[in-house]
Amino acid sequence: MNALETTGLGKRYRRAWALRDCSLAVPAGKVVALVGPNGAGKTTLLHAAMGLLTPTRGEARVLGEAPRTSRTLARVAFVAQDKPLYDGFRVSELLRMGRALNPRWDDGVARCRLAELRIPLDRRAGKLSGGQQAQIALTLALAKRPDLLLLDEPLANLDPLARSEIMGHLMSTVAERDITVVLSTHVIADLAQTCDWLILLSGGRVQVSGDVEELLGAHQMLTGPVEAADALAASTPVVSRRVVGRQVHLLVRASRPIPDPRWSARPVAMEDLVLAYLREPDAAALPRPTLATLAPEGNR
Amino acid sequence: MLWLTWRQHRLQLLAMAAVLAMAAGYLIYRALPYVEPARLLHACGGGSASDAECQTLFNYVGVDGGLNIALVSVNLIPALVGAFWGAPLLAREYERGTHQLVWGQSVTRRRWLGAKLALLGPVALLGGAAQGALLTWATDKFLVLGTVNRFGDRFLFGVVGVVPPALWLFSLVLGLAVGLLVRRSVPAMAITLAVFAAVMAGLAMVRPYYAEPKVEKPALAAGPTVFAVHEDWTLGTVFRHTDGRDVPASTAAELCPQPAESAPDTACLARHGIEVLDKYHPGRRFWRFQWIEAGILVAGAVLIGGLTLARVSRRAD
Repeated sequence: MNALETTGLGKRYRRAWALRDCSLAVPAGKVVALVGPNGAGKTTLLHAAMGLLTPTRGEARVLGEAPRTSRTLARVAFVAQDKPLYDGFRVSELLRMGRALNPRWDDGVARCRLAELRIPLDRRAGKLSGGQQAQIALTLALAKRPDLLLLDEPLANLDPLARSEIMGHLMSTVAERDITVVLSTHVIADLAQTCDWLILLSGGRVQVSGDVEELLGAHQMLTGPVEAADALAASTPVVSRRVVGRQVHLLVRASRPIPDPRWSARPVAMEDLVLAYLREPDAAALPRPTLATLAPEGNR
Repeated sequence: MLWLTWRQHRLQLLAMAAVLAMAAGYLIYRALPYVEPARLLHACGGGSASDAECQTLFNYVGVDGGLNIALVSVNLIPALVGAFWGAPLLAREYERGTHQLVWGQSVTRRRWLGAKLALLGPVALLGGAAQGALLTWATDKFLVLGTVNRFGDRFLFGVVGVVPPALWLFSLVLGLAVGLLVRRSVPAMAITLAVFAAVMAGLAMVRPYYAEPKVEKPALAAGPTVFAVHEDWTLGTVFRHTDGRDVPASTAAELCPQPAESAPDTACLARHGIEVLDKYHPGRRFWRFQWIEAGILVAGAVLIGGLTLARVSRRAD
């Protein structure tokens, strides 16, 4: 079963499409980096998954079901970008709210986590620091014991210490329980070490969606003479090219070695891959063989 | 959900309770001196008091402008329910982004909003009933002043009887719907107040048509020895010719000129074959009108509330 699945999902606000023709499928149990520049449609995609917006086209399904049913809601947790909390509520009251509204609520986990973070339960949420508020929002989401956790820019506006704390805690939770986590970010460095699935959005379109290892295995960084580039591009899909003097660096989609000895190949790092695609938004127009085959086509 | 609703709205609920308590304190303080005369007034109406006793009631007849302002300002209370309970209910969630928090919990929006209305709706009805009972009691005492007409005064009709609970409920639901459309608290509150005032004005305009007014010869002017309070709702004067046609007031004034602001010269008009009639709703229709108006408001509240609930639970954004 796919934890998150969209078919032809599109959302238009007034004139502009925030998300367009988005079809992807994320298998359960993955840690997903949802990457894209600001305004790429990351929040729109997450909101569609949470049922916080009505798609203009297509649909989103989470854990095999439509969003927003009580069954789905009990299994999905979401932390929105601004980490909204009821400012006037004491932390203990937020926990009480979580307990009252969620059948799978784990009060022990929540209290334990807040105690570890030394967040006082009797303080009002509005009086706490941004980092503490983010931690509370994440705690509320985790204590729900979701099967799918959607986090919109969870690390934005946090200092490096809080970032690493949040990521560390998140990863240990993911390791304990078999949950799928989708984290959106525009800073891929935060997630490069931890995620094993990559979704790349740009200008409202899906550029990449796939298993990180397979994606990295399916791309190579080639360095060779400028004049050979066009010939290579004719036979191999080139994602990006960067000319440095008489040399050209090409990120190509090819899993096998290139036989031409003029080209020297090296493996691709996640940051390279992301940057290459982000620099070339049109790369999405290319066929996406390695990416699309991972997604079941059954829902079309 | 009950706890969450109480936790989120307790400030508004308690503030409204305080407003109501203050109004009650003031009105009871003003009404207490008239408790005994009011009892006597009813006794006189029932014929169980002597004429001499009833005579004393004339001492109370007087204009009390301050009191009328106090009574009229009670109209604000249901408006406050819409502005402070209803309007922020959804608007504040949207404004602060907390709808993303609460709608991400394991409770469908239908249940979330349903639970909120299941608490706030009955509380509004109770609060309105309390306000209605208080004002009905107090104005009953003020009747001896001779300046209070709960039926005919458009600013009093809605603060007494069974209309207030309906108004509170309607106002709550109206605020809720405006909050859904506007999504920001302060504009939603302002718009709620404006729409509520417009609805009140509209109701006052259609109210005379709840029943066919009576057109009759005026009752003989009450003699100076009888003190009685009529809560009839006088709509105007009709000049009717013996052939059955109604004559415009301007024609009547031409035929029998009278100084402005004074009663028409009936003797003169009679010579022209014109009868001067009163157009009015008799006071005993008061409760019928009350229930009609309460019914309109409750129906409106159910309609708007149903649409809002459907919109919130069906549409995602």
